[in-house]
Amino acid sequence: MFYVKLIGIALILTGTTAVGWMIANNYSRRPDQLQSVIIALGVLGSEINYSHTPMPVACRRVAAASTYPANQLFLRFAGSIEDRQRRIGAAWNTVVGWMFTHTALSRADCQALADLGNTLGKTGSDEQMKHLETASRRLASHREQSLAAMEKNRKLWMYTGFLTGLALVLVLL
Amino acid sequence: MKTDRSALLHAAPLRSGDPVLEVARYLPRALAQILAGLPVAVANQLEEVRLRAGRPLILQGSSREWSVTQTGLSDDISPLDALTASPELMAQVLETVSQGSVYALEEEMRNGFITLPGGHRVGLCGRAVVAGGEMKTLSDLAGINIRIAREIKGAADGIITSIVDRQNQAVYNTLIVSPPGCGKTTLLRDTARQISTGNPQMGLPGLKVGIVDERSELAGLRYGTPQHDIGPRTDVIDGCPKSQGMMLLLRTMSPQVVVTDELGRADDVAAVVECSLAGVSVLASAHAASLRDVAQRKTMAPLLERQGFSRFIILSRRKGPGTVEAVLDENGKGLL
Repeated sequence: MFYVKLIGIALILTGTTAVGWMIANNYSRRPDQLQSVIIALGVLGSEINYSHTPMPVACRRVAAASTYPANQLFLRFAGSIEDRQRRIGAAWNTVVGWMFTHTALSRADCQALADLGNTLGKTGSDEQMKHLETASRRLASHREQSLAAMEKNRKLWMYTGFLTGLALVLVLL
Repeated sequence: MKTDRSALLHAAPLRSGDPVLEVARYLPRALAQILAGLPVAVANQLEEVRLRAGRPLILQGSSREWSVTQTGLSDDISPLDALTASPELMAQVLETVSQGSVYALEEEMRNGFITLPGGHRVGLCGRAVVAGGEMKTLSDLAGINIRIAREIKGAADGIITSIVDRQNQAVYNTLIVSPPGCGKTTLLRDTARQISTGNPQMGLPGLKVGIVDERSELAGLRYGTPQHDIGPRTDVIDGCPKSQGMMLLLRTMSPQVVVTDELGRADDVAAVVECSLAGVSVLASAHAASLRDVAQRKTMAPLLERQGFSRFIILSRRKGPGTVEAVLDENGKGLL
């Protein structure tokens, strides 16, 4: 009987700690994904400013040089431009909408990206650089906040998972 | 008014490689489908697709024009159900022809046109954004003119003998003069092709030709390869201002003939003189209705005074685009 209880205690503690760890881990996804998008915007800026690469080609190059989810963002956007069904701003918004539902980016992060859609590709390279830098700065500030939140919440959820398990064990005993 | 109501519904598909289909690939899907569905007879004579904000879209043929209605084409250019060029459609056309990359076309926007692969020209007008006294770009597009470039092999057959200098196995300095839309570029391209290929019967060996294709219309270079037949001995410098391009070709490609479109600026004229002095023949075109009009243009006059050109080809649309009205020598005497 003692061993059965011991196994039960171990299972409860492992389970709750794992759940806490998973929630804590989610907090680190957002800064990582924001970093991926910020780097990709920098690469896009270079393609626009130095090579004057047409947007669909530039986006495919950015996608090839990026990690998830920026690679998906730019690959889908390149496809939408080539499709020629809708205005470019609308195509960008749809892709940003996909980012909101499929990645760890928050509504505010996606809003910063969506605002870029109003000007993307529509002006000279100097103006394009300014818009890209503004978006990058906004996302970088979101990332700072998300890193701080990550530090705080990761520890909190790790402890919470373990302590919840401990409390459950005490109650059940 | 005669109306081809069913034309769009029962059209045979255009052959792949048709210039109209080539243009359609760079237009919004809705507009591309209209062009792709045109009857072959209409597509073959289509010269321009005109969009004017808030007014009916017009397909301009060589001798007719059509509007597009819900059910087909109409000879009446403003029927009630005509497809209208909304500002939204105009903005979308700019996005698709520029592939969402206005930043890559700043110079073109300043000049008011974009050249599509294949040499098709998209002319733009609207509200000019001026900075420091110079037009920077265009906003609020009011008009878009999509001109379909066609390669017509043999277009120069009628004039080529007049511009060949048999004695020296060379080509006379030649200026093609015409108002817009009379086939200057087509004639220039085919002349370049024939000179580059050579014609032993005419005593013309194939000559090294250098084309300065500032607007990418003559050769339609795409990733370095010309989209039109410009001959086997032809080198192209694409997208370069004419005067710089001519000097660059002289230095690098040792051409025997330099070809360029639409002379106008003073530095273009200076470069033509440079080429002539370097012993290189020049084949060029200029916008004007007659030789007298050319002479009245301040920038061009010096060229005529110095007898920079020995042959003048005057074009019109009297019998359709490319009608040769006259071929004149340096004294203005008719040769044809």
